Amino acid sequence: MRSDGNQSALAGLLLSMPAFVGLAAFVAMPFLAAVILSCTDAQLNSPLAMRFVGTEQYRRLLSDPMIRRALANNLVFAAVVVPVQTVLALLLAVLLELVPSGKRLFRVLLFLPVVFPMSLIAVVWILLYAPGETGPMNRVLSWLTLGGWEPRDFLRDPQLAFPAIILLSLWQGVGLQMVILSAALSRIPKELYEAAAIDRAGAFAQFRHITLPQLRNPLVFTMLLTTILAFRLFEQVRIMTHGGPGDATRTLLLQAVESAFDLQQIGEASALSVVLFCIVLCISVLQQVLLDEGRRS
Amino acid sequence: MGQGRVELIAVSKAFGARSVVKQVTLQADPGEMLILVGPSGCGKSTLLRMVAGLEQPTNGEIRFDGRSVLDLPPQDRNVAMVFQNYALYPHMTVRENFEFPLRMRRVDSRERAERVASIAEMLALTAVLEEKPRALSGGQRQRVAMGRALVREPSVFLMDEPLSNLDAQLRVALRAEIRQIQRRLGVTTLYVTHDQVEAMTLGDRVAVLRSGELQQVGAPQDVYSKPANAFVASFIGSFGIAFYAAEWKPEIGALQLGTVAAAVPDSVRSDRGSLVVGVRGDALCIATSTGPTTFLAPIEHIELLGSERVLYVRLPFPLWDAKENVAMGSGVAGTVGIRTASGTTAAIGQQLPLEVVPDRLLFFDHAGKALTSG
Repeated sequence: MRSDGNQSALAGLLLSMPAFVGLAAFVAMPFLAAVILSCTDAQLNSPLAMRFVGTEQYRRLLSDPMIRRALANNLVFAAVVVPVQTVLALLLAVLLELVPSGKRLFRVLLFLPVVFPMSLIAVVWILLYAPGETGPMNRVLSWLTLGGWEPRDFLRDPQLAFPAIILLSLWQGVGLQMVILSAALSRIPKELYEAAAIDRAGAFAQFRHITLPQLRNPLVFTMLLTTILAFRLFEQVRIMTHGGPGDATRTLLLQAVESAFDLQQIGEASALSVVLFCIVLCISVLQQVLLDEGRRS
Repeated sequence: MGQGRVELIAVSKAFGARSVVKQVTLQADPGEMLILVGPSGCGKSTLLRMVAGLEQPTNGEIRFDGRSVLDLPPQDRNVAMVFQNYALYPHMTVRENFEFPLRMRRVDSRERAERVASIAEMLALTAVLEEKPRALSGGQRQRVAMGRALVREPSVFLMDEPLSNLDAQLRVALRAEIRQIQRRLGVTTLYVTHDQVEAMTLGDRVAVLRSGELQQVGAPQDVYSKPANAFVASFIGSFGIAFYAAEWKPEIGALQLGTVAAAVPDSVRSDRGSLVVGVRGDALCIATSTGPTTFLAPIEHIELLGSERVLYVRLPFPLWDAKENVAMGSGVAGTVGIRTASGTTAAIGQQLPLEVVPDRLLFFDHAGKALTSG
């Protein structure tokens, strides 16, 4: 028995080796390197020797107004996108259940934006946000307000640039949340609704007492996933606004990439990555705790 | 609590082109336990769901206490239902499951607590009130489903195969419990089952259904001893029944059943000549002497049931070609089980001397319809 157990443990270890090697080479090692580099003043193409500076980079980050703005933007993004996208996705998923036929078609259509690469979506939305009267978004708004809308240049307007990014991100992100919630929704046993109806629960009471509690785990999962994605906001702003106008659309990840590859500040970029990693780690741990709790109850 | 009379009048239900309930007219009297029984797919569950309001009949009328309920959604029918898989709210504790129907009726918290406490005590669930359903055993879950239905004092109680997910011992125990509670509360109950033993032991009356059509309604004993047709005769009863073609011989004034001449009641002496005889084990007795009315039948199978032993014999009579007029019976096809004391010596293959008990025989025409014997 014992040797059997040992043997299968050995086999398990061997079989998981490729994955472990991959994780070590592409995740653990770079992260470790980032932690070490974040304690130096390393610069690419610099003739000066790299020096160890301790926590200097982190201290600089905290006092850098551009970084603070980026962090604030990420927080605003999460604070808007997570609740709005969740409610929207839940609404769509519930509506989808009510569609008598063509449910799959609607599901595919709503999921389509998730499949397209963000770079492609960003280019399309740059066209949608085109300035002047002929820009599609300007036209739609003008039509909606019966001509009361003054054409604006969304992506170069300090007030509108970030909301414009948020809108496109919602459109792109809602499909994934919707599909996860929709799948969970169709797994809720029909008898629960029948029992609730017989117990005199109306449509709203059924939603509140059956649907929502039954969707607890998928809701926690998708909300925290969206939160993590909110802190990784990058492609849209990199392609559409470069963080501008001013720092209106600057985000942490954009800042990290720019300082590493545009400014060659490897030390600073590493410190920023480590901070981002810690934020995402915290959210993931919270997610595990909440999901475990949900599973136990 | 209201009266609780339930009437179904010419109720039909079709799903698309498939007709699952056909023109069923049935009434449950106040306080009665009416069992709907039949093989799977006979439409009994659909019938129950129509009473609950979960399905709408295609045709016909459903009345509670004389008032049509067809326009009422399930919420407004004041029925309670126990589902086959219980449909307990998995995210709620036992207490919250009990409280849910009361909350939906805006019962105040003090009365809620009282009712929950008394139901929990009645069903021996007080100790698990704060547990979630998944922590409970099958029997406990079944009890919680019962409790959730009972807690709000419905005018009609609907049960859809509530015991079919339990093991045999628990089923027998809970069967007795359900019967006791139903008698005590006096709530009109419609109970669906595919198990004829459950139907016979639980019901005030039994309604036998087949392919969406009502075959017979009556007290369990009547349904057993005076089945309306060959299907009911073969569906009800535990030890098998066999059907034989027989000939009425006016010249000898008896029924010719294979080699045996059996005296029969006057009412079946007809001019039709050929008829069908249904023979259950209790229409046979082991002969002590041989004579013109005795015959030998081989034992094909023996079932030991503790205090008694059931001998399945194949009678040497011409079998009736029943076509689709009978149910898939219990026991070995074409054989009849005779109950004997467990001390009886018997072996498979042994030829058993038998005699028919004429007034226990059942008579049918060739379409399977019972010939009334008064």
